[in-house]
Amino acid sequence: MKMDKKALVFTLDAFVATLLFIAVLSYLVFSYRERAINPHMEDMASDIVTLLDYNDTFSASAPAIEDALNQTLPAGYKMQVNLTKNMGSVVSTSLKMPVNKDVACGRRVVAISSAGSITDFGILRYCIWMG
Amino acid sequence: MRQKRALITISTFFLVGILVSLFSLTLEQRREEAGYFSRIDNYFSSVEASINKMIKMNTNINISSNGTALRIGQGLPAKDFSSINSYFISFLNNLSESDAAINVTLVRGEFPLEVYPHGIVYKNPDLEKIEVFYNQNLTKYHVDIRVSDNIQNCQWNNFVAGTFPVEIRAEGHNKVCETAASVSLGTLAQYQIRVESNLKDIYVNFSNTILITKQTEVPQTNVTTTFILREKPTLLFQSDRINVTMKRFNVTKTDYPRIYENL
Repeated sequence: MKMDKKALVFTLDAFVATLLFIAVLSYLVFSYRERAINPHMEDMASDIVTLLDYNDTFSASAPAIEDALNQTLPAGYKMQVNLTKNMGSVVSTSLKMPVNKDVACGRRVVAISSAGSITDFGILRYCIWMG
Repeated sequence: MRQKRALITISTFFLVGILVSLFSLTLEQRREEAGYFSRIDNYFSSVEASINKMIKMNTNINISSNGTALRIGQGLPAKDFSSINSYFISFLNNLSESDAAINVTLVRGEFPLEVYPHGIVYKNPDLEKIEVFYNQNLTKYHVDIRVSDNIQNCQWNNFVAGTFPVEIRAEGHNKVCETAASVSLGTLAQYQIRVESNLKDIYVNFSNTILITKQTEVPQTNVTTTFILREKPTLLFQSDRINVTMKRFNVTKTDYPRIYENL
């Protein structure tokens, strides 16, 4: 009888420890996966704006930038860009950033051309999210 | 006895929990730092891309390479690059970003390109000149000059035979001059190309540097310089060294921007 009680305590102890171990492990794995979304989206957004910058897209108007973005973005993603030119003007795409979603943002320096030569520079701020 | 065992179990569990939490925090910190390094790189690359666009659009320079041969083509008179370059530098230095600071240092008024890692520098001392600072990593030098005029004559004015192989080709509307010779480094050797309409000259001087000078009255001339090097080159825009600092981690990337076009 004494031996049975000892075995029960040992089993319960092992069971509770296993449960706690699984709980901690799941928390770590899921929280890591959630945080891993951001760098992936940030890299993707950086690649997209680099490509558009190479094609001189940011020298164009906001609707043209929006068109180029829509053609380049993979399905299921949305992006917002805001370009502040050194000479003062600001070009923004129309999408607003969501408040309840995971958003990755970045920025880059861009050269702005007019009539085939660079005339100004600006800071491009961009954000990407799934939507 | 049982209490002792329970205590050991509980303390082991808490100890493992603390270790896992610490590991998780460190992992998160490293990931965050890696993210910042990547952002510095992206930011630096965007400044490089802007310089490349400026060179592509605001100069009349064409750059290409094929293995160890690097070709730089340029029209003379050269386009004045200094004003847009100064504007870009002042733009970068006045950027006020929350966690990034960009400083551009070593600003020079000319337009030097450095052939890396060979230490050969190509620049325009003024809009009518091309100067090349060379060394033993340059195994052969070829220059192709195309002038929008008739050529009256081409000749060597000073020539001291040496071991450095050079080839000069000058093409006008009426004829082509070609010469291949080995010149002595450090001793002046001058090749003169005289154009017909106003009897003005283009000079190719070989001395401590290679200097191509077009007199102002000579019409638009295209000069393509080919460097044959010991190994595959990278071309750097040497005039402005860029520092990008992320203030939060006090991490700075300092480098000369690279020229990507066809390399």
